[in-house]
Amino acid sequence: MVVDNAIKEWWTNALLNEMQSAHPVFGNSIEVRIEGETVILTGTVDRFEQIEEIEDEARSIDFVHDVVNKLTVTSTAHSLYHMQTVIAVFPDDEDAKLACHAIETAKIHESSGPHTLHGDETSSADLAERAKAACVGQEGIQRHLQSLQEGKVLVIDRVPEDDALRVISALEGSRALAIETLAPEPNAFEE
Amino acid sequence: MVAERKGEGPPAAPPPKSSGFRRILRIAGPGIITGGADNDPAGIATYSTVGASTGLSQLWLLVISLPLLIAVQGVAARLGSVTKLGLAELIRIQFGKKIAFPVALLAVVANVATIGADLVAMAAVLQLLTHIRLVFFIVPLVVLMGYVTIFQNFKVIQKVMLWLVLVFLTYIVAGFMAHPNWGRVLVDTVLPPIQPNIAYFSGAVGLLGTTITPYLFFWQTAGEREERRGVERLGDTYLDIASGMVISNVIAYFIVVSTASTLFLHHKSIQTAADAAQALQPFAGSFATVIFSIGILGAGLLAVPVLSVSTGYIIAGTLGWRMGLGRQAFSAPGFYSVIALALLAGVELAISGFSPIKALFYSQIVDGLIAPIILTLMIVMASRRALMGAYVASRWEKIGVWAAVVVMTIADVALVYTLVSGR
Repeated sequence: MVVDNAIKEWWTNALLNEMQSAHPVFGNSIEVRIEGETVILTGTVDRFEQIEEIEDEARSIDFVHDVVNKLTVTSTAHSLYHMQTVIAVFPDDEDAKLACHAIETAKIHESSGPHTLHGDETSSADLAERAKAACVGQEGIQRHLQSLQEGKVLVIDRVPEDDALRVISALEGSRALAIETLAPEPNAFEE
Repeated sequence: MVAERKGEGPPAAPPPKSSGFRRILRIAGPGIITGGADNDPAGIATYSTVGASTGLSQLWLLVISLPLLIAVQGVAARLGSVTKLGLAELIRIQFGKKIAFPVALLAVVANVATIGADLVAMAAVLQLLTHIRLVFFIVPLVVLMGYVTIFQNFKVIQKVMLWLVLVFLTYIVAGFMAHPNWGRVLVDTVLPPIQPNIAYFSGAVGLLGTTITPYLFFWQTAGEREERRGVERLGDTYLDIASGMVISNVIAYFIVVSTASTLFLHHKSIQTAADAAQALQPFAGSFATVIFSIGILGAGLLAVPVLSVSTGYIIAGTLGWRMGLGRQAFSAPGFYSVIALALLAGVELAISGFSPIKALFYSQIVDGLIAPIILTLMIVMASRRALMGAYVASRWEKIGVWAAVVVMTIADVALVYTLVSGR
């Protein structure tokens, strides 16, 4: 990773306890704490990739051995992302609820949270709304409607796009029969 | 000691604007890695053989394959970026197991054959340098690559490997120093001098097969998914891919020019790694062998892990297992076991006495045969609004991928025809 000299200087000073100024790029929004040889990062940033960018900056300093990254993305930053719906199919309600809990602990964004769908009209309407937002049409949710008709339970979660993979990873550890996504929603930027 | 502080001072300034080169470094991801892995030892052997056996007559293929390759890898990246799923998973979900399983099987066979051929090529250059039999290098090479891929952060290490592959930029200098007939180079680049014989068409299938390669489709889709750039940064994705593919094809172009201007001109064929290294002599003189060897090792150290990981993606995706280089080995045991098994199968192939040239040839034939099938599945999926929503493939991507399907199918049919007719 190529780190600008001014940024490198800021980190060096910050870690040597001489730093009084704000980060050249992220200003006051990030905090640096040192415990032994471990650097702990806290605070909020506007974009997901900035979390890894800041961690890379810290790791580029020679004497940093370990970094604990507790940075989060601001809730107002959600409007910067395309929202995406992740759908998983479960054999029963109990497994679905366990999966919802696993998803909650995996996310880095605030969002509406996962919920379960059963074979009722409300669920079909919910799916149809998601299909409309994702521009995938009725065909895009046909398989999921079929699963509901077969008595299966769906876990559905609408999250910022960069959180979708975390949700999928959390679901991969569950008893999901299938995990899919709907396409990211366009125009989320203007929401 | 626990020191805690919070920055004080002015509010955050916007990030400084990146220059072109810095931007490329910042966005360097699976696209540039794919470009590096595209020129694997087997690929370099193919380009060298094509240059030595058919001269400049297939340069045009490298030119027309560039936009096709960018379109193909772009669609692979788009699929991963939009769906957050791997290509093998997508094929299983969208087309069912009856199509997914045979495609996966053929792709795995081709991958393992290529791993075997690449291992032999890497061991051969070590033999060239040390005069110790190549068979003694194969297991240590695989242990090293397996350890790095499974237990270390391969994503970091592969960026280092890319610098080793840059050694092949010396082919560009060698190409100029070989003083080719530039008029002939230009004519053969823009006017296809097609020769209706087996050597020409097998070279064409090999060249296309090693350029537009199935394992890279799987790698790109999964890599884009793990990169988490998302649809908002599809522009960065394309810049990443285009940079990788341009570098890859420019190097391939000059490998053909330099081997055609040295080996082909003097009617020398390539039988060994030492023969292939001769193309660098106009530039490197007596260091040609060393430079060629470093390049082959760098290319292999990058490509073999990519091939084995790609095999992991194929099997895990087809069977619905957990996968991803972002996971520790214990949390995706099936995925990492496949990577290890693919490397072991490559070792078995490499030390079994099976001719590496045959392994290379057959792997490319299989690649060449399945590539149009996988490309067709990819572009059909990328064009489905029910799957891609507002992010269906663009018109240019569709034209590019369908053109790749047509060109590769024509090359396959022509090869089969020339083989059957014995011309």
